[in-house]
Amino acid sequence: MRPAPYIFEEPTNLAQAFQNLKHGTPIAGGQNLMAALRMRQINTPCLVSLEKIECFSNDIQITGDAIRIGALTTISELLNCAVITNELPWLHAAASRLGDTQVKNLATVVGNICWSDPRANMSVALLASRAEIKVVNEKLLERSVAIRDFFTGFQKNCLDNELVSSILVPRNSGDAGAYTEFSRQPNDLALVNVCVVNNQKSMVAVTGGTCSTPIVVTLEDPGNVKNGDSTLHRVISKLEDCADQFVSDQFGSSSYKLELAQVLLKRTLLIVREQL
Amino acid sequence: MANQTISFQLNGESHTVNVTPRELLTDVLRDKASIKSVRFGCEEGACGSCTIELNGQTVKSCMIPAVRANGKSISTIEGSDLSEITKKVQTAFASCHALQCGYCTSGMIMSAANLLKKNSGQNLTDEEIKNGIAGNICRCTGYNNIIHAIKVANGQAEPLAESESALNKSDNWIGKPLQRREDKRLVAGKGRFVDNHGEYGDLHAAVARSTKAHAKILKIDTQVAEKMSGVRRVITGAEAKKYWKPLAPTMELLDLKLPKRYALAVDKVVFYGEPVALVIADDPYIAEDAAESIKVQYGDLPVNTDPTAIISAIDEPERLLYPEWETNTQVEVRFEHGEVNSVFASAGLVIEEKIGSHRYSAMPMETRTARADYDKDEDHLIIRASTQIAHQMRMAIGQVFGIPESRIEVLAGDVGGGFGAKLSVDSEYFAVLGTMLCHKPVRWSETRAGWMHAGPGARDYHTTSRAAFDRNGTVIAMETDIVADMGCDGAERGCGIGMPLNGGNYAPGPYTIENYRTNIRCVVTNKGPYNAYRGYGKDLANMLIERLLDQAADKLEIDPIEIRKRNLLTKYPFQLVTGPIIENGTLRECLEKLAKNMKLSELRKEQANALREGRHLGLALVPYIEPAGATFPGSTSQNYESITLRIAADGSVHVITGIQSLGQGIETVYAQVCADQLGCAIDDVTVSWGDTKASPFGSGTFSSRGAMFAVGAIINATEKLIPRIKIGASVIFECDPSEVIIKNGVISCLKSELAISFKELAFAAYVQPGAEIILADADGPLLEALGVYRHPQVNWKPDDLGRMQFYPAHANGAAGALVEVDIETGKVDVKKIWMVADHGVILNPLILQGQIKGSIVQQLGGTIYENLAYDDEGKPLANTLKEYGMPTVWAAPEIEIDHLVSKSPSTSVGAKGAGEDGSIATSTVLMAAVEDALRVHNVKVMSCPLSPFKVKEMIKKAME
Repeated sequence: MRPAPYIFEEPTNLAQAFQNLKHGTPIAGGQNLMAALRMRQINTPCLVSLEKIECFSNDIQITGDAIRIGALTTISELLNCAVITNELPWLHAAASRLGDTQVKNLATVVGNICWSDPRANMSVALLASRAEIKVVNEKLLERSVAIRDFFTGFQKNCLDNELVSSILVPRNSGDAGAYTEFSRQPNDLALVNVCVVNNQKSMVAVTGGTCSTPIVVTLEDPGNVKNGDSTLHRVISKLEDCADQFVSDQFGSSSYKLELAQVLLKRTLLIVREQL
Repeated sequence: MANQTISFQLNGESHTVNVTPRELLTDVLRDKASIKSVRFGCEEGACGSCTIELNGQTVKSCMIPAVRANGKSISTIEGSDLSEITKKVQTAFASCHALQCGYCTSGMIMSAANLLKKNSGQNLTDEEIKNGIAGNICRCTGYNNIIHAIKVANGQAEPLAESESALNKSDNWIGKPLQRREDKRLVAGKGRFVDNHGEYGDLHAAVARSTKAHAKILKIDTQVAEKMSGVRRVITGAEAKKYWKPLAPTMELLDLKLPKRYALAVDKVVFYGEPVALVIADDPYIAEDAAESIKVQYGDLPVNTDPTAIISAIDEPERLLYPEWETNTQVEVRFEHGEVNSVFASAGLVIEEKIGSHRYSAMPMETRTARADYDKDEDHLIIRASTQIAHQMRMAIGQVFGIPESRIEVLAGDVGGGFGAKLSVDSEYFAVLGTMLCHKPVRWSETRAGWMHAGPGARDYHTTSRAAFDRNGTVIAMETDIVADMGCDGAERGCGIGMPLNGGNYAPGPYTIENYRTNIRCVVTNKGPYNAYRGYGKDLANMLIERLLDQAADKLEIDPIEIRKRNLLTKYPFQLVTGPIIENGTLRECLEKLAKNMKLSELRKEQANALREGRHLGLALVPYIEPAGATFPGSTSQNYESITLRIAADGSVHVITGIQSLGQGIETVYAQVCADQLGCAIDDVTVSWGDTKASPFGSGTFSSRGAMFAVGAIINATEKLIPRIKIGASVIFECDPSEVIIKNGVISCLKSELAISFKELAFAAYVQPGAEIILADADGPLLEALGVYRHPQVNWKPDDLGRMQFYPAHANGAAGALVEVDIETGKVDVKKIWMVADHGVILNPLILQGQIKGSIVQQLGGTIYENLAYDDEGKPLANTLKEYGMPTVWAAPEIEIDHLVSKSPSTSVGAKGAGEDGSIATSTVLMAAVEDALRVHNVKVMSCPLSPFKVKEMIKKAME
């Protein structure tokens, strides 16, 4: 199958981009979007490439207390960045499980969160990392959105005629953390994924793939994760509160997904605890 | 949309092309830059067949609008500037038999080479290699040889094959692990697949498909489509009836019912995705736009997706798919022999289980595709198609369109996998109708979603099976009640209907069971069609008897191997209670060798230790038989195969066969056989196939018929030509023909030591002095012969009990598995598969092992990952390969294969046919191994899929 007709724009600055986007759809790596266009699940009159926008970069920089991931940084570039490997190993783990080599070479980190699939690896790992999303609007005004407020539904987010310009991840987001996922085969779509990041102030446990958006559980208690079963029970209890929103599909019932989430949380917490 | 001009570097050269914004880079490379190695295998960027390097990084070109390649650098496998690493990978793929059909190979090599470039000579672990090629799906090889080839290219391992030049030419070629000849073009991206033959200016077909699983067609609105620029023709099923007849059935045996449907639905649809209208347009984009714009009004009918539901024609006539049948049962077959009821009534132990399998599909990497070109002036139709049955396709097209077969030419070059799913003609008619209406060549290619919705499904068995045992574990009676879900049809659009019939027929297995009853019902439902798939019901037969034996072994506390030994046939030939005769074999020996190879006692200790750590390992062994060389009355599967053998005036030898190449290596193996049997040099042999005008009638490729029938036909032809060669040479040598010997391309005289080449002999026969002189005493003047092989071990005439013999040979073996089950998630990790297989005389061990490995991983995929599931409304739940669960390299376990050889008494060289071992035994052995792993929790595994969700459900149920 092949896409329905569209015009293709390649703006070089944001003003042009927003002009084009009035009737268009942005494309960065396009690894989810192109499949949807080919299967005609999405039709758009105009595809707006973000590739040549001068102020959008594909780099990863340390800016003060944060690590800044550019709007066009690909998964491969993230994986090859020593800062990520050293400081955010759970993000690295999530990226390494995302798609295959060819997909990683084109898919962008920002694109992965903007697609807003509840099991997207980057979404889950960045939620646990307490990332901040920098967003720019057509007036070229920038605002920050806590990633926790970013996702609003299945493949929906809070962007309102806006583009994500970068992602900031606090350098002190965690002193320990781990990402795990359950998929039928590695590099496959995750059925359920979990990321837990712990620091001196709190522990964040994020579960993806079960509901329309990832479930975030924060325990404001330093060293929480060391409490073992008690921590697990507290997280699972919050997960169970959302159980009526769990989704069933051909890969498993909602109750199976709850069980998977519990297993993954238990295993992930164990990994994190061993790091402390 | 306005065209844009883009420029890019392609394999080191500058290219400038005009594109529309929506054109995919794959299309532009193929149609505007003549790069044919990039291929479509899906719509979602999963298969990797279109992999290229873009600015040095591997990407999937089907996921990129071509306009984005502007100013960039592209490398493909056709490049004349290939890196040394890429060349090494190409060489290694050929020398390790790391490809079969070759459809995915270009993309796979691009990924492998890129991986090696990035790792610059460092040794790679299996995990690193798997990470590197996880974006490329291969359906044929089972991935093991691909991993090995990458290691060879990286200097970490040795090749598996031997080249022709490296082999000692004085030896026989049969039995040698000869590197395949077909690989030279396939590793270079030059496979001769259908879509490579498209030309600029071809028209393109697309179909509008039903969005209902069962409904009356009330109205079809094609107005928007007809007005679109670039649309040549829009035609509905009702209108198309003027031009064609109903589908030509693939099978018409027994008293089965045929739906007599047209390729486009006329008044009602019977499955989701059924074609309802056809569009012919200038390019595939416009064709799809037009097809999408067609609006159909439906009148809903009740949908049935449950084959076990008994539909009453009186109470629920609207639930009948074909009301004229007055039932939804396409065929019902019963067989009974012995005292079944009384033995069951008095038996000490009766095991009864509901055993079955879900629906999945052959899913070759190349979907169904055709290019048809009708020359009205000449009244001549040429169709290129991806098919296993070129001659039968010609027959079907002639029948449906009323064209004499003499005016139809079917060409099938390289075929990107078949596995049984391309044994029918159904959608290929679209290209033919298109070219007949528009008088231009028309191309039609099935989308992957199209295959998921309307392509051939398989398996989907539901049985109640029981067996009666005495105290020693001897099976004294068996009964199988089989319901198989044909989807909309298992005999017209496909020939899957034979699968459950085989299942019931072979369920007693290689065991001495004298009392047996089977009742097989093939039931139509509102799902896609049902076609043959590798294993062809022998998988079901194996599953039924072996699962029952395991349950009895448990109850009677008999070792699982021991209970089989107590029941296995004790002498050959052995006639099963249902009629088939197992001519000879090594069933007992294979089982014993397997146990030895697996080091069972050590594995049992490992299993016990693991359990103490909370890990659940499971082990299992099952024997199997592989009936091969199917011939069926009431079908086009005849009990013969033919070839033409021709020695040309320059001494070159040409074998032309109706057997179709699907990646099983016939180009190589037939050359080996021909060189050995004729005595010519192997370099002088060319093997051709897939051309109905050039080759004699052949039944095509299925059921391992190549090694059993075509090889026999080659030998038959050589037996006709050798006397002529000897007579001709004896005239030249002035000796007696009995004193002439022919070997390795040299024709010599025993007495005089005179010798000539094939070239000299052929020139003498064709030109100087000519056949009238040197072949005057021969039975004919031509160095050309028709070879035919008719199998003696086939009997289409029923015996007193109504039994027939459709399979002339029976390979056999034993399969073993080691699995680990995560009881918290239900995930099954297959750690290793062992197989000891006996296929009679081995023609090429490299190719044989490749076939076995491929079949293992294919069936493993079906058993654990793949699923053609439907919702209650009959809508397929999988649209993409990922949703379907296509196995990637990560699914491939370690595989160890060993062989025993019992020469077949009934084939020309003693080969029995091969290639279905894994498809027959893998499901059973995995089910048994998972059950063994979960034995401590009393889990019974009687059905698949063994998906994490299903296995977890089994565990929970057992623990309740």
